[in-house]
Amino acid sequence: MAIDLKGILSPFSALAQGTKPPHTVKYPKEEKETAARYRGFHYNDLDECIGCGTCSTICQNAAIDMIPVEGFETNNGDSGLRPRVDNGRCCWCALCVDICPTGSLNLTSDYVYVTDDPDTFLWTPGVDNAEDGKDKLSWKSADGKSLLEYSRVPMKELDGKERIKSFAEVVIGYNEEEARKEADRCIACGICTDICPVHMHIPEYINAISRGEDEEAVRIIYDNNPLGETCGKVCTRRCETTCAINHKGDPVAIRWLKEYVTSKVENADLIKEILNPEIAEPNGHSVGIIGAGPSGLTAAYYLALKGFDVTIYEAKEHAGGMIMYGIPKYRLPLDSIDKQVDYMKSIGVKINYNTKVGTDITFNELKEKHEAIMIGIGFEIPYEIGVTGEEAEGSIQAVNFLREINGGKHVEIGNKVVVIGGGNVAIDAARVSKRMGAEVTILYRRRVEDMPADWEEIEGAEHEDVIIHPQAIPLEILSDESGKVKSIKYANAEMIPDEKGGRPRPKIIEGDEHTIEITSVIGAIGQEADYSFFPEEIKEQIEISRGRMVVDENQATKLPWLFACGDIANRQADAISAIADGYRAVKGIEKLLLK
Amino acid sequence: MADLSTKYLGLKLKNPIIASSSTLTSNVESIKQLEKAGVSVVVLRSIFEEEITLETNRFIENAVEDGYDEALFDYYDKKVKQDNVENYLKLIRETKEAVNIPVIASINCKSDHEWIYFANKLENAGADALELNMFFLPSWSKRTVEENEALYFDIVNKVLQQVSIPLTLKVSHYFSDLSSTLLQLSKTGIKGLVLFNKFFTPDFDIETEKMTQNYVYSSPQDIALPLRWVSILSSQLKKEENNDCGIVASTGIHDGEGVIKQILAGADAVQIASTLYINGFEQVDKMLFDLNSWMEKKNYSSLDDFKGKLSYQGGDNPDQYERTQFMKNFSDKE
Repeated sequence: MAIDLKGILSPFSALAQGTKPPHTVKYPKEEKETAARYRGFHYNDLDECIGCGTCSTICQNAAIDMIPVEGFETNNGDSGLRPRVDNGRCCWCALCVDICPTGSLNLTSDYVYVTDDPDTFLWTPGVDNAEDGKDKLSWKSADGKSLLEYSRVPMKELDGKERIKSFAEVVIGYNEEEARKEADRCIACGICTDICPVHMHIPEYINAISRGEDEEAVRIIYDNNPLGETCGKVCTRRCETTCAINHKGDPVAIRWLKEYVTSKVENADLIKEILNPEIAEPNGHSVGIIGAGPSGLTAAYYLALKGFDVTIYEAKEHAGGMIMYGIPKYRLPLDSIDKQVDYMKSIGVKINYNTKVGTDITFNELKEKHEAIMIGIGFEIPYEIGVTGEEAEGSIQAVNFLREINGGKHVEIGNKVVVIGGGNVAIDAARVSKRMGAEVTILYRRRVEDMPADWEEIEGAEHEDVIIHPQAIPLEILSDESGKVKSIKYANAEMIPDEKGGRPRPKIIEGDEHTIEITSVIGAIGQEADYSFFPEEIKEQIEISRGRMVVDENQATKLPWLFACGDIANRQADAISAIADGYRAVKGIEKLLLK
Repeated sequence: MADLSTKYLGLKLKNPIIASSSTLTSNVESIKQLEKAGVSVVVLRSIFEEEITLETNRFIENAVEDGYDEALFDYYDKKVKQDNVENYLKLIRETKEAVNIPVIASINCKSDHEWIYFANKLENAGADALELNMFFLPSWSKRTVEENEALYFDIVNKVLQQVSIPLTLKVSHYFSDLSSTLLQLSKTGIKGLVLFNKFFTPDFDIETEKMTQNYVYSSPQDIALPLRWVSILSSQLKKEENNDCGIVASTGIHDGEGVIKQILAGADAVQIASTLYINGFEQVDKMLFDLNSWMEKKNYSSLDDFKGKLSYQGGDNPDQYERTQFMKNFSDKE
């Protein structure tokens, strides 16, 4: 048998192929270029993202969940969470991108991903493609496409010229159609709830308004805020500042929606009818509250609901504290406050008006009467302006001025008023003076952008022709022979940067002095608390730091039966924080007396 | 016993030793001890505008560190100022109640409008007189020499318009034309000039290469500068008709000899502080004893008998006061 040499050698010819290039493409050596605006894998700008979860909510395939990511904490307007995409479920429809309110979430041109580990299909955009994702953006929400309505339904207000003729409420309020439309803008992310000091159920009541269930919205609001209507008119609304939509458009008008739904309820009886509150049987415990301001009223309301015997001791003839006597009626009408207070009284809150602790009743007497005491007296003692001549007739303090005017009394201010200060009290004093027919100038020693007042209030003052003179430092108040103010001397200031990174400081420009003729000057540069009613032995046992009483997480002082709320205990100096304090104090008092 | 009494700011003093403004005059108890020790007048520790600024800055820095919004303390300096003024007014009132010697309040400011504000407040609290502790270090400002010196006159005139109690001015020697400026200031209506205030003087630690505070107290040798200028100014004031501005010597007066020297130079009284810190309050008694003994030895029955005897005009060799250089004939060394 002949040997087939070819047959023997042929198999070995394959060895020659080993030296040639392969016919297959070795992954990922070559990549196809994608089409423009291709929808590939996600990329998330982690710093831009606020973790609102709207992407997760809209995803039709439940492909996105929200997870904690290292380096991001829950704080002002950021949930601390970031979206994670299950690429096994994602269909790359880009709805998540199109609705993203910050524009942080985008799709890239990357489309190839091979793995035998199903767990790695869970991809956290911006974390797992941190290095090159940003350079491959393809479908971007920044292209102007959005599923969101960025423009707010405007609020109608009285015209500037019209409003200074009276103390009529400036804000006219939404009608039903406007409220529904505005409520529809909410994406219910809940970021606002987080930052609200009270943690009001904002998306829930806005959704109720959107559905046309206004009474339900009222019930939701009263769940943890008995002064919802007040907040609807004057809240400092940190919720709106952090609103997710605020990143690319107007924030949802959370305050005005609250105002719409609460002010619709015309009287205390109707509030009671809607809420139909469940009032617990008396539990035999008695609580005294000093001050019928927002914190005192809040604590009293929820304590009364829980069966406590609650009495508020209020020095003045009306309840409300600074919201009654500090905020002008064109922002917060008296009947609105009365309505809310009347409802509280209807469920058992007792208020002893014209009863100043320390004068009409001693603190120790209160201690004898009640098992727990809560203090919410606010900051009512004004700082002196601190210039020569301020004791002259016609030199007055804004808090006193506003208290008199809001209490229905007359204060003679003449026709040329200078207000000194840059906070809300200064703006309020200026706008009230304007309504009394005066020409008004505000002297503020820093820049307008440094003014602590709400921008909306500053703008309101400007619309009413209040002159704001920034970088002006008062030097002296001059009087006539009868001791009545006649002019104020001030110097212009330059702003000096603070070496340590603080706010720039005003410094007088030597020789740049001016004088304004005046009939009154109103000081509005700050207030502090009056703790003079405390007996010495109590003062020794509590701690006061930076003018504020030191309290624990339930507003309790070092004396376990003594609670402090509002301006005297928090750093925010607004009504909503005082309400939050009052709400927390209820928990503290319950813990103390019902243990 | 010689008559040690003197007049200053229109006040009759039992002796010429005044407790100068210092921490020793910042509380009633200490002031009572000083009165007991024998001082004839007490100048309260100055209320400093700068301290108010520093206190405010510290407060705000700490508050910000603790998480407060700085804007929450927008005008907090006014509150600090108000508290400081109230505490100072309380000190004046309580001191006036506690002691029988005159009480002089003292002010030190940077802003001219603040001098007037404080002066008004302090007068109303019952101070017997006001001392303006005034200095604008040349390193402080961009002002010209003229502007800087004009500031003294401007502030003094404004304060004089506001207050009716006697005003005295404590100044430094940092003037381009000291003699003339002091003379002009004496004519403004002030009732006293205090020569001179003692400054914080920085020193360096060459190991740590940091600035330190070293020369806190004056030394007896520091008497030379005020001695010279008290001598010169007192003689000039003597020539002035209707100028009732008194002179008080300050800095470097540590013992009876120092008191005697300054009165010989023409001072109406002296202010002391360092010696009280170094030697205790009993030093006042020793100084008065030494003064009295010297006067008895010299047969002087009152201070007026020798006041100004060695002033520029009264000295045998007035030229010596104006020499600023060592010259061969004044030196013992070749």
